[in-house]
Amino acid sequence: MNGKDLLVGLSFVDEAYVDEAETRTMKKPSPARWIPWVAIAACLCLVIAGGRLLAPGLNGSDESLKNYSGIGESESGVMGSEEGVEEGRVAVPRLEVDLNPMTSANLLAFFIYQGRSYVCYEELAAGEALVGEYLGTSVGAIDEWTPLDGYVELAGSVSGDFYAVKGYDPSFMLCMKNGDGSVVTYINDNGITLGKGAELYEDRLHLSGNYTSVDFQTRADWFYGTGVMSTIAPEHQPIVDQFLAAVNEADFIYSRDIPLEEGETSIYDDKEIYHLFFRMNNGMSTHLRLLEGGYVQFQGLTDVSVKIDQAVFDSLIGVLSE
Amino acid sequence: MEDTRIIALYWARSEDAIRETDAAYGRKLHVLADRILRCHEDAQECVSDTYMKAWNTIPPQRPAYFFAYLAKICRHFALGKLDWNNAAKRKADIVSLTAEMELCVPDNSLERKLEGEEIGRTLSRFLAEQSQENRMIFMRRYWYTDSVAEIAARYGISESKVKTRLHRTRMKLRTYLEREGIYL
Repeated sequence: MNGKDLLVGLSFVDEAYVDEAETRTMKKPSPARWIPWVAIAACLCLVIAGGRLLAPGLNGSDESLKNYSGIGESESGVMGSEEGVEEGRVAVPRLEVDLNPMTSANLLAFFIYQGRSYVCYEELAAGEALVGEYLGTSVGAIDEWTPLDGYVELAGSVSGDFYAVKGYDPSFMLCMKNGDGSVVTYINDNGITLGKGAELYEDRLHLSGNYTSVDFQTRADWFYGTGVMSTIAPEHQPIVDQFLAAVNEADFIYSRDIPLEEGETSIYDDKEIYHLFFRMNNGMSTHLRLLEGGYVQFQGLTDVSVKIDQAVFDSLIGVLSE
Repeated sequence: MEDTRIIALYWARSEDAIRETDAAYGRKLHVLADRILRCHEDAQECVSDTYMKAWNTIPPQRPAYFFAYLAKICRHFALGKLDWNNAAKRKADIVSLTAEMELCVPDNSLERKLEGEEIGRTLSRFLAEQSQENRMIFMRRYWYTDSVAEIAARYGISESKVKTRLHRTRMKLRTYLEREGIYL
């Protein structure tokens, strides 16, 4: 069975689903309510045949794209490489463009600015207050037929004006506005190095002390998009504080180095247990993924994880599983 | 004319059945076929074949979802008529859709090989587990061959949301097929 077989086989799906897609509409959310962004995948890049995620890289013909400034830039001597990274730090390298005919370049929303690729992270129903300075306009135009020399500054799979996000470093986060007042944030998730958790969760995401509540879902509820969501009760705030302190103190590791037990094949299918959503004061959400063994990932940067003290991790899990 | 009344015309073997079907759904069916075939004449032929099939199958069929019933037939004819080699040369939409679906097929070589209708049943079971929104977006993209922009406009959501929902559902489908032990 191949892609063609799947496409043809779709002809035999239940007619109720064919009818549903033709006749039903989608309920528009209330402007005051945050839209759960449940469908974002690893948010790094584009999918190639075989499942490994790659993203448009910045090694096109335009030399100017190879240099850029920003917090925590890769300090390796080789752009796009993990080599030469200072001990105790991890590098999320610049990613390469793969123009294999099986690569589809328009599968995630992204655009290129100042030599960085920004991939969509979250959509906010009422995000106007977050929109900062206008920085540029993506012309879009990247699709599966785009040759290498099309991956240039201001190209992307989505078009439109993009802006800084108030309170966030533009080298890390930007946003676009939709016509209905909603705002989509985009995160630059490659070409950076990280040491301690605080370099991401505080320096970039400003997490501690800037959220109003913490919601959570089980892995299954998140994966199947059931919408079932719970909130951590305020009396458990000390446990959340302890958890965040541990995350900020922990060292980053590469997610690929998270060990699998015998019989396990995927850290997400076999180890992921909960998703946390820190509801920020500014209306955004910081989405964390919790994996067995004390591992914590940020949804917008899943190539790297931190591992925290098991007792602290278990305390939080105990609250979530009550 | 309402679907139930059109179906009643088929049951009554009235020639008005085809005329009313064409009036209600001819354009949609033509668009569906044309997206796949990129040829007006071939698309028209598919639509005509669809009406013939509907006439020959109703009765005894009494479709609960009349347009879906017709569209299924039309889509099946269109895909059967498609010259896949030339479609690639013409960079037809169907080729990119095929490439996207290819990403859902797992690498493993475990046991079961599926054909046609069984693939459809497997996909139905998978779709039953998805949220309605994700299912609708998936069906509009891969069943109706809508563009991302068209899906966004239809449902009043952003293109970025469409892309991301599609990506997520494809990944889930890949995982689902792996668990079902389905192979290339």
